[in-house]
Amino acid sequence: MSEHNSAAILDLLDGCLQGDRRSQELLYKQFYGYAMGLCLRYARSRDEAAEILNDGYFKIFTKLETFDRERPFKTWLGRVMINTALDQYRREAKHQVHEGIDSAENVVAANEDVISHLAYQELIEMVQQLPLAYRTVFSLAVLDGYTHEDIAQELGISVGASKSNLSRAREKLKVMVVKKSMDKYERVVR
Amino acid sequence: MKEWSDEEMDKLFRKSAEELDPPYEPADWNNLRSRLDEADGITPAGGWLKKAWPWLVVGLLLLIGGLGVYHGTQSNEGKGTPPVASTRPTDRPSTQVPDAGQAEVSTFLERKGTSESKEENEIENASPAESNTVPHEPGKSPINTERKNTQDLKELPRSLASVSGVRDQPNRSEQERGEGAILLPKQNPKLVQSPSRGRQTSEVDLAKATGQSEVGRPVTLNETAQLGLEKDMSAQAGETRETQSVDEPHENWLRVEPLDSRKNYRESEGPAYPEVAYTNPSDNLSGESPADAPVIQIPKWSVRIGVSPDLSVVRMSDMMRSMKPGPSASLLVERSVGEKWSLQTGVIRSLKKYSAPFSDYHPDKHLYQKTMPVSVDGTCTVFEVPLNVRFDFSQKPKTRWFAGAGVSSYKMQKENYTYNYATYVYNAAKGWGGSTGWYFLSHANASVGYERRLAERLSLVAEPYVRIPLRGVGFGKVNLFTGGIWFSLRYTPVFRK
Repeated sequence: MSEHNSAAILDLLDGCLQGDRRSQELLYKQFYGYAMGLCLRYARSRDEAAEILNDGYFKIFTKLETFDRERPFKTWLGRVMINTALDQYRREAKHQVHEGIDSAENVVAANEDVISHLAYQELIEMVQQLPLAYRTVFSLAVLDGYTHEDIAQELGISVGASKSNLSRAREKLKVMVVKKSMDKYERVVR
Repeated sequence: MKEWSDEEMDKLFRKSAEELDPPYEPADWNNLRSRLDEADGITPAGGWLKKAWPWLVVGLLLLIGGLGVYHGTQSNEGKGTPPVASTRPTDRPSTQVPDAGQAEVSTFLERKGTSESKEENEIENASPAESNTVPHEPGKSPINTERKNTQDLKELPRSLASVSGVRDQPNRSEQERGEGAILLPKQNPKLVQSPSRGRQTSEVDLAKATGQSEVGRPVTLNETAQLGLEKDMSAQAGETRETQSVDEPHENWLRVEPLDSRKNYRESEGPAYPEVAYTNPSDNLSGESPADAPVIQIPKWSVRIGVSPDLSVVRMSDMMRSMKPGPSASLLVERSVGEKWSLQTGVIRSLKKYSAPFSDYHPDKHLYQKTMPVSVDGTCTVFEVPLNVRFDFSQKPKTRWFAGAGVSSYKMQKENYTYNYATYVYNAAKGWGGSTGWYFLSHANASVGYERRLAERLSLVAEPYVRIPLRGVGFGKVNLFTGGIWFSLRYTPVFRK
């Protein structure tokens, strides 16, 4: 038995290798939250995230024999999901139209208490509202720990462009956070 | 209020990403499951049809094309080869049984009384060689059996026009001052002496002895001309015989076909004989040779380069209202597969501009916002591969009229959709851009056209066309109707042999 994967997971993987739908469904359920949370960071909407999720799971179920059982399945799954999201990025990057987001002129200070009350869901939605390039670089760099060199290589951009995109993504997120917290603050005061 | 550092912001978002645990959605698994089933070849009932229908359409087109080729080949053969009548054995009488006119002859036979029946029986009982008449079954007049053929054949002189006409009239032989059409000139090598010499031969006998063999036999082109000659000669003979006494006994010369044996005759019953082709004698008799007819060249290969306005709509009701024409260019190759049929394929690139109500726009990715767009403006660069069959329904040396039909496959190369809202909606999706790729056999094509020859190998084509959607295309899977008119130059290249 692998030290990284439980016996239950290995049983499910065996069933998946044999094409057993029930095993596949259970494995899908088991890692659904983790995988969907990951996909949501790279997608513009929940539907797009679900599409990336299913694309990723489809790859997993059809190429499961390439998985090394001595390594953690969850890490492999996360990597497959990120790669699938990057595939989606490459498809859309060329023809992406400008998505609606008001750019900030200045970064405004935000109330820490209010921010702490922002739900995780709301914060992820802010990431989703970023333009495609900013969203992808921010998710890779901040949320998934990629270096700028790795990002540049994955997305086919320069390291400088990666850093620039990350900086602008942060600025936009700050604007959104401030705006959100101001809205909440006003609601509380009233 | 404090200003957040980058690290603090990153930490906040990282924590939210780690803590986020979206609830399980069974619908997502169902989508994946159906996809896995499809990949494993497990498809719901009728799934094979969804997969196979493009091939069915291609097969149908090939079938139509094949029939076209066959039809064209048959037409060519029909013109280039002699009619079947020329090869038909002349010693075997046609035995097609007509359904019309039988009652007439039957009534006539009844009217003739028992003496005729007796004579008929005698004929039946006599051996064919002795009687020189065509044998027939009892109760079934052989005259009847030839009636249909006379309707299909060349109109003959009056005495041969119908069986009853021959029968009702007195003996119209040359010797009896008749037209003599069925009596042959003496130089005819086929002349056979009638066994029933003398005047006692009844009219019915004569009709049987002559009509069944002459009337029913197909008349070929040469014979038709010969008949005219015979008629003329008979007329001359009739004039010179004016002075002959009517009562003077003389030999009655008839042209009677060689007879089948009874066995052969019975074997020949039924529709076993080839159809006799009708040949219009005027073609040859007019003296106009086929070489005088205009020659229409049918090139095997040709290339067409064309431009057209591209008028695309999603709803036919918008056809005249909201059309925004885009440019379209084509490079097509045509291959003639028959005298009037040709196959056509190539590439067409067009810019399609259209506007659709959002209700007709069905993207895979749903918009998660409260206010939906009212309409979508699409601007799509489309690469199209048509496969058409063309039929020339009018071919003249300088001009042609034709109709075409077929199918097209679209590749959506570059799609840009702009969403239109009734009012301003904050943070609403503004549109989508990208490429969704190929849509095989997505449209049916129909067109009519006019081609005018400018030079020996160059012609100008004007061809109005429509593209009718068979399936939705693009990101919004819209049913895109397209119309336009091709203005093309058609060039026929020369190949080295």
